[in-house]
Amino acid sequence: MLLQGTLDVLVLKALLWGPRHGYAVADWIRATTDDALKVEDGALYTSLHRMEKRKWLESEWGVSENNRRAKYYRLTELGRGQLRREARDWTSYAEAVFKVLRAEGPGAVPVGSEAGS
Amino acid sequence: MRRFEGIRRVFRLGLAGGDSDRDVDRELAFHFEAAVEALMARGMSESEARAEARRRFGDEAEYRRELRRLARDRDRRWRAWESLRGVGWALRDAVRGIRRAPALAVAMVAVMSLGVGANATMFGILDRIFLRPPAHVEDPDEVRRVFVHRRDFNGRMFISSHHTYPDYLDWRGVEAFEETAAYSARELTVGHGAAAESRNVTFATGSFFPLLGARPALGRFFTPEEDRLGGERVAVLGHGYWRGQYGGEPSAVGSTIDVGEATYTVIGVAPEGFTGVGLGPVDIFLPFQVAGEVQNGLGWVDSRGWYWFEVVARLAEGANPELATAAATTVHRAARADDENYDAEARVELASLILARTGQAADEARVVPWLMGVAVLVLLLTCANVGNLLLARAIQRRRETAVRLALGTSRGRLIGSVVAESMVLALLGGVAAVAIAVWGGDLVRSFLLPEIAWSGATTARVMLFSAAVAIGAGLLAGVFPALRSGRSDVAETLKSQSRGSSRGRSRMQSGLLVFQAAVSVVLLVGTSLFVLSLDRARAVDLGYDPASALYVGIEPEGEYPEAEGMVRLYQEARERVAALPGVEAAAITTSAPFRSSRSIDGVRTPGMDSLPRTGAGSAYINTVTGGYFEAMGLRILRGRGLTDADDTESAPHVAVVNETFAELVWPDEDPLGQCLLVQEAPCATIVGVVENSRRYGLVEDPSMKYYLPLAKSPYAWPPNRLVIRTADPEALAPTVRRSIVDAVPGVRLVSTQPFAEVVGPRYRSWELGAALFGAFGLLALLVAALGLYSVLAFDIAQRRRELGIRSALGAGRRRIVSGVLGDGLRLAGIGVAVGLAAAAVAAPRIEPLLFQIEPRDPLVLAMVAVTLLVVAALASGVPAWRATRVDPREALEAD
Repeated sequence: MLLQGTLDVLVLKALLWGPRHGYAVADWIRATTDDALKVEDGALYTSLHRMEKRKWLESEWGVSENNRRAKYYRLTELGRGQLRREARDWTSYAEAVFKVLRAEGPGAVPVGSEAGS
Repeated sequence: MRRFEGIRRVFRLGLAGGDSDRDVDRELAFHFEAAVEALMARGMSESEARAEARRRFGDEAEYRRELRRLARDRDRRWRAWESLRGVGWALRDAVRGIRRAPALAVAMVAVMSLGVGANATMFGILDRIFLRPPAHVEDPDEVRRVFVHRRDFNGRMFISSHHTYPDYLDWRGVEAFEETAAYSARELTVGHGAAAESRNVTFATGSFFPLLGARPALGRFFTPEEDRLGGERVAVLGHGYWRGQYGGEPSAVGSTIDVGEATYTVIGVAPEGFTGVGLGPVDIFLPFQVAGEVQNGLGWVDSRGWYWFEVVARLAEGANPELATAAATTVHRAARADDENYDAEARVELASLILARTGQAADEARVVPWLMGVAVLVLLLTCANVGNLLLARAIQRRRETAVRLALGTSRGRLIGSVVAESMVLALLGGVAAVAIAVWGGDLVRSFLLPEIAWSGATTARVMLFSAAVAIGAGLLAGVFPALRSGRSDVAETLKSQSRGSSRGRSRMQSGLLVFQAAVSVVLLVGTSLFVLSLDRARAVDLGYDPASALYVGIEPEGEYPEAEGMVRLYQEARERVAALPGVEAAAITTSAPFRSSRSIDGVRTPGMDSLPRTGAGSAYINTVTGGYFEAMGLRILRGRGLTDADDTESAPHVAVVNETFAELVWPDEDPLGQCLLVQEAPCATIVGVVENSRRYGLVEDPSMKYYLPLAKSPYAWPPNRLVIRTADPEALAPTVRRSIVDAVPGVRLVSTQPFAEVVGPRYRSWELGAALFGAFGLLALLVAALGLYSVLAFDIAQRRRELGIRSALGAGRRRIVSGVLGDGLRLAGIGVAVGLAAAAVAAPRIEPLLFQIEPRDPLVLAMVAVTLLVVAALASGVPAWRATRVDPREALEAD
């Protein structure tokens, strides 16, 4: 299972290049991550609706590629800002984790030196 | 963004609750279709694809539930937001409408402000008199006035608000009363010498202020300990008097003031607007026992026949008012048990502090609710008027309305914008109305109801009231046009290439015009009745000439001398005053009309043991010096008046009688030379007959009067007043006071009062009715005329095309004019008929307030009808004239 906030970032990112309907979002995420994240489509819709309520997204009924009525979502300014923030946080988080994983040997930073300075 | 919103609206507006669910279902249905399609495109069979899509989705039922919940939630919020935005739209439409026709808006605001203002003004007055207890009374509901219902000697029931001192002491013992206080209001002369004035003074027990719960503005009130016989002479000033006479200086406390027959030390100032229990202003409060002894001696202390106190009581906490009433009644009856003449069934009433609720309200107060009703009529009228103007515009815009409806604007929004427009107008009018209420209220109060202390600020309540009335009026005025907008038939309107060529006026508009005319008629009938009442009351021959008589009262220095001493004092004053330039006559009288009158036993003629009685009682005696009839402006009808030569001990006995006296006593004989026997005195020869005159009021039966020279008074009566005849009593008064104080030794103070001021209050209720009915009536007429004019003018503007065609076809100007005029007059005529019928039904109810006029006086009704029709003709004349000026070519090319 994926953390809720993480799923939101993925969905926001999926909408960055323009309005998409729910299936297209699911499809894009699956294709982009090579289905590594195993997101349930239902969770994705929940995320879409929740973000619509928060006004990060807005929706409209439109016509799909093969002429069927579909509900399209698009980013609002609020959503765009949210995406920027989340992306920044994620990147620095990932970098931090990455640094830890790449560490070579213990004690690069003496324990307690911060308290002494 | 706009487009987006629009699409949303089409799909979402007005969807019922279940539809957000369907939205979710549709969205998911699309998802599954798309997923299955995509999977099949990669080579799966349909059933495999379905299974895979479901697997990828997760727990479908659970997610669907969750999504529906979210959607419903969002929907609710969205609806709330939408309705809020609806108000915004309505206001925006309203402002746009107003800006499109600013002159019309100004007119409507003006009309509204007059209507609301009239109501606010009347409410301010009604509020003070009928709705609120006197100012500065704590927990007024617990404070009661004590009245006694009992039969008088003739067996007639009456309500006595005045009681004796022992009665008051009895009630002090009632346990249900936490505190009891007595007070007595009167006018006393205040100050010394030429500056002396008559002022409203209240004697109050020491318990008075604590009972009411008032706190002094300055210094302190007198205490129950100070209120005892022979106590310290202290006084509390009324706030208004303190500000007026002492300039609001704190140093007033500690100074001394001469009130009546003694000098008092000022110890405090009452709070602003404090009037005790009544509504009239009080200038000075004095301790009851101290001032009572100074002014009236000690007789009242144990007399059960001296009714001069009013009593208030505060109910003890938790006391049952009915039980308290019963207890007070029991005490009262027990104390009077020995008195056979006293009504054994007498019962106490514990009445509200609000005077008008006690059934003892004066005529002026009784006029007020009528005037409030009139103000409400005026308001309805203004609502009808504004409603009509809005309606006219709604009709003008019906094409626009139809287009908007066709484009999907909801009727709700259309109605909302019309109501919002009338609300905005009404609220603007409400603001102006407060200004009118403040100004108009001042005017009414100071000129028409001066006996009431108004300083207790009512402004906040008046403002709240105005706001409420303005909102109500806005809704009311908006209802008619709103209904109209809401009903307009889209297809019909769009199909007809009308563009204002059809008859523009709706039935509703005509109805409103008729209503306006009818209300105007009712108000004008009321106005006429009051104006004629006042006119007739003024025309009543009092006998006297109030405009040129001045009353002068003299107070001696120190102890009051015997009657002869007072006569001497008055005689000296009379000599001084008679010498003043501008004084045409001066005389002394022992009873002054409208102040006092007396009758005595033992009056007869040689042929009659006792005199006949009239509806006004037996014959009234007055003893006067020479010049009395001249001074009061009474005409001598036969013979001569009394002279100073008659007014000596040694002169022969003579008398003058009035018309009624002469007619009743000597119906068939010449009254001159007849003999009048007054008690033991020898025959007084009748030397003259004087015209009839009133004793107290305008509505009284003619009374028999006879006049004797002062020196021949059967009892040693002190003079009551010195009466002066002069062209301008008001202007001469200061000179009179000064000349007497300066020249006559032994005079402490002189008070003066133009006779017109004595008589004035008797006309007040008619003045009030005439002035306000008049103001409202004119207002109504104006508004109705404006309404008729604007609707007709609007009509003409709408019918330009038609009129153009008609005039192109050769219709004469005359026909066009008579068409429009006839139209206006027809509406006014129906209104007049309805109004007259309503007036005929309503008018008899105000009969008790009228004076010598039939409430259905045909002349009045006819006059009003004619007035209204003339005004209607004028109001339709202008649009009619304009109709003839329509240029056919221009009109036809216009659209």
